[in-house]
Amino acid sequence: MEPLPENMTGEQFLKDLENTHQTLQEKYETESKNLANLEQQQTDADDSIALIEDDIHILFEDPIPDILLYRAMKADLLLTIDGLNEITQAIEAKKALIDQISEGLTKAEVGIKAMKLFIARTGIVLPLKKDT
Amino acid sequence: MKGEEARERIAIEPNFIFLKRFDYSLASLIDKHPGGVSDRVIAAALMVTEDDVQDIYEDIILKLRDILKVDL
Repeated sequence: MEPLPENMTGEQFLKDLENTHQTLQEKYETESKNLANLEQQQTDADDSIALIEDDIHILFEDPIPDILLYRAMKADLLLTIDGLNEITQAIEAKKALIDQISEGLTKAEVGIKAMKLFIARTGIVLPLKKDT
Repeated sequence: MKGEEARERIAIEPNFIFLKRFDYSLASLIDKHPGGVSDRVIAAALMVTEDDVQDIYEDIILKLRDILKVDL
């Protein structure tokens, strides 16, 4: 057993020892809390990974609906949002043009027969009403 | 179906054409040929000559250009 340092009484030594013990005890409690937090974070992360794995499983195990597959095959391309917007605008422009043609032919009073001829020749389908 | 009856129906019925293979239906013809058909087929469908098809079509286009103010 080592001797006490000079000028240190037995009482001081015991007090220092008590303080050191107290400090180490507090440090132990703090580190224990940190460890518990880390363990909780690890558990949360594991849960998140499990959920993601479930999603991936669902994504790859479930078959793609036939209609989506059919559409993808028929279109044979992947459309961006811009691409879809362009197609939508083109469809709207076509509808507007068909309306204009239809109105024009009605104004010109060309008759059902001529309108049917126009439809058959161009493939542009116009709304037709029965001639009276 | 007699020719006279067919001509009358062509003139007044929006969907009627004189082609049995399309069930006498313009809609059926367009379903099968969405890009349109030849003058020969149109002539048979509407009981006119191919020259008539050309003349009527040109007349329609001229009227449309006039009404829609299209200047090509």
